[in-house]
Amino acid sequence: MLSLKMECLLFLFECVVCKRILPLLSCMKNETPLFLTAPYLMGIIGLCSFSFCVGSEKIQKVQTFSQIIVPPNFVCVVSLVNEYHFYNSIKSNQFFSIMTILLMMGFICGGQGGCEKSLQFRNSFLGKDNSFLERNNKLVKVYKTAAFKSPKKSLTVFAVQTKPVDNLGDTFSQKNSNQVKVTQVPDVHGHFGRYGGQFVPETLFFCLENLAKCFGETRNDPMFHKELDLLLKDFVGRPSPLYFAEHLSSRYARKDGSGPRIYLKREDLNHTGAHKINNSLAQCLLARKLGKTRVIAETGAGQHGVATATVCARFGLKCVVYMGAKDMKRQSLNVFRMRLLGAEVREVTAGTGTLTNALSEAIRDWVTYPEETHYIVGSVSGPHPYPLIVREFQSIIGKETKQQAKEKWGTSPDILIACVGGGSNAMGLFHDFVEDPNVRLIGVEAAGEGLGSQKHAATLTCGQLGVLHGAMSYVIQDEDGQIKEVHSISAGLDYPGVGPEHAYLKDTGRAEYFAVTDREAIQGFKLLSRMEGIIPALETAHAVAYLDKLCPTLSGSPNIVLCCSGRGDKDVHTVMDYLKENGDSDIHLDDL
Amino acid sequence: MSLIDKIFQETKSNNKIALMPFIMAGDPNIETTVKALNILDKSGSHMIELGIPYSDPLADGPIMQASAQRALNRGFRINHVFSILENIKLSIPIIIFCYFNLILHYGINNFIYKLYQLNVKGIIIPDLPIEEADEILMICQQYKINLNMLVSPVSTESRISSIVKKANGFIYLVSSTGVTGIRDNFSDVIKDKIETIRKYSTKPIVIGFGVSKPSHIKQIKAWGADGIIIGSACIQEISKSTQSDELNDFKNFLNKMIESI
Repeated sequence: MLSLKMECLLFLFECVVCKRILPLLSCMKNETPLFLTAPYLMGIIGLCSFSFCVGSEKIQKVQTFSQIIVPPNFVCVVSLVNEYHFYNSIKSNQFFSIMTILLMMGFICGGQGGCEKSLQFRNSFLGKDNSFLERNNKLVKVYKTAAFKSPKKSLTVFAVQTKPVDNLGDTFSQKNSNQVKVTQVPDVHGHFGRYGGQFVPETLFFCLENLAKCFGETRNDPMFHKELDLLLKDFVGRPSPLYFAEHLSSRYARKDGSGPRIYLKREDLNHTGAHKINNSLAQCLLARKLGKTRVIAETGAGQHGVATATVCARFGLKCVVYMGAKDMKRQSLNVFRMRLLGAEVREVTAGTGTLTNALSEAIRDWVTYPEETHYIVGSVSGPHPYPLIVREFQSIIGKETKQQAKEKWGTSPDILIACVGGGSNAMGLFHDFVEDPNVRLIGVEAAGEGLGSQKHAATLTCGQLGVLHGAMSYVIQDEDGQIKEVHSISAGLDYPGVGPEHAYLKDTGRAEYFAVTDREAIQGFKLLSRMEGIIPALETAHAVAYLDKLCPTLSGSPNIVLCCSGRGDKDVHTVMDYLKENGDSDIHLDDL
Repeated sequence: MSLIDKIFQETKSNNKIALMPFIMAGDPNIETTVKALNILDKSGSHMIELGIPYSDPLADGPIMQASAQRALNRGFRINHVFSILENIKLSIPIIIFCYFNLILHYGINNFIYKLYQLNVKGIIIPDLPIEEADEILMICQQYKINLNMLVSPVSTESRISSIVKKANGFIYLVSSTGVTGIRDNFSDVIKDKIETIRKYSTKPIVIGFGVSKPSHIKQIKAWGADGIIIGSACIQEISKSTQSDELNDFKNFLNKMIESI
């Protein structure tokens, strides 16, 4: 046990000899381990000023105070930790690396048993609203605070999280740290941070396990990729063009000629008219590999159902598509197409008769016939491994875009924008760019009749944490947790959930999500038709409509890539009916 | 030994199989649910499963789906279940059947604590796999509430062993693939699965999904299960009975089933 005075001298020794002041100053420059700065400063100033005081009482008080701020023993360890910081990449989880080191050191050197007291003081200082830190650390946003006692009770440590790291939890599991590399997300149980997972009845687990295993094998199987690439080229018509929308861009041009340059990734030019076929085709190959004879799918707008029926016709597999009764009415063209292609379309009347009910029914079908059936999920939602699989197969969109962007203007795009229902076209476009912080990712959801009304489908903007269709994500639900009825004029965005990876991207701040109303989407529908001669799907029209809000906020001439996820032939009746009901100044409707 | 374990032990020693009927709270209304609970209490059943209606029941067939929808259409709220349980005195234990999102939204800790306060003895969550159950298992153990896990006839052996190791209540073996709903008969696969489970655990095994006839009970008893859950059939009987006030059809059905245990 060191005497009090010895501790103070040791501390000063540290300050001077170890030159901890310097790392401290560089900390402040880099803004990295700022969370240690304030306690540091207080501790140094406090103890420096009082260390030569005579009278043990004063020193006792100072020591208690400093134990709140910087227990003397802590100081030596912290200096080592600072050094550690600079040899580690910024991306690593600072919180855990520091905590691990501190606890491993198990630093005991003397000190009073003021631990209990200092923890109490700490709690009253830092409390719930971090007012103490706010007063001292105005530069820093505090995400979380925590206090720990060392095993020998002479060391109190508290730490402040100043960088957003998702899902710290109360455990030091390494599974949650270092999750910045996109290829490592999701983990083996399908978690993106705390989202994702497999919340399904037990009966489905053996299917999901087989699927995950089979998918893992195909990833490294060159034959599978060769067959898939050939089909994507000859059957689907890839690569889809990256088209410079010159006329549309001129709408946002400024007087000096600068302005955003808008490019459209033409997924609407694929066979079947949407991006859905990228996924359906590849999953059909997977189903064949798994030896399944029957394929089921759910569909909202009908595009995924059509794409699945198309590939099943091509491969001779039996196909059953579940579609909500309401959707069947508003997308009857697609219903006929599916039947023409040989699929059976089953009407789902439960609930609101939309995508969410169709998804539930498809899952029930799968639970009943798991052995012979493969369920082709249409979006990056559902239980693991579906969000991963669908993302992988849709990521061809982003891969091609990267290549095409390089060819066209030499660098990656500055902004990516896509509509988000379940999130498959957005995830497909975003995936290859998630690791590049210079690319801004924007997702556009359906605000239906307005976010204030009860009739919208803006899950990421207005939803809460919940479990839907096998995955933990954002969900639009009522006060009890019952899934709510949602509304959007576009069937494909009319879904109260969203893919878990989008929830993760939103929480980590990597992607931004906004919402656009039905009326704005109709304007977007007309805009692209009028300005580029391309009639987009109503889903895509939401992203187009957002351009009007986005472009005035931009400076310079950023290259924007908008994913034109589908064509709008299927929507013309819906739009016509809407315009007839609400009136339109541009289009002559009286004789229709 | 918990109350539920005692019940299983007793029934086994009397050469009987425990009967655990299921009803949906709030279908067709709260008064009927209370009546049904009281009837069940005196019927000779050993435990009651009480289901909380949910908007997206993935594991449920048309009968249960319709039942949940009826309850929700009448404005059923979770608090109604709690008030039913607060105001009723039952001699046999209650087990709650609830989908995970409702629990998550209420707050896992708050929900389990509420069940503890209401003297509920167990909970079944059909869409919660063992991998996601760590937090809730810890809380359930704290409040001594059983988290009864599901096993399916297509579950692999390694999965069964990891589930039964962690589960702290009985093992709910569903009788077949598919969702809840009345079935005609059951396959021998169940017998094999019971034996497989017994290799890894001595916890009681309960069979459910599709049981509707006394012959089913006899068959399942012969296979060595410890308990039987009757769900859709009960709901059907209750929906028949609401014309007369006394739920006589339901009472008769229960008597018939009790005779075969």
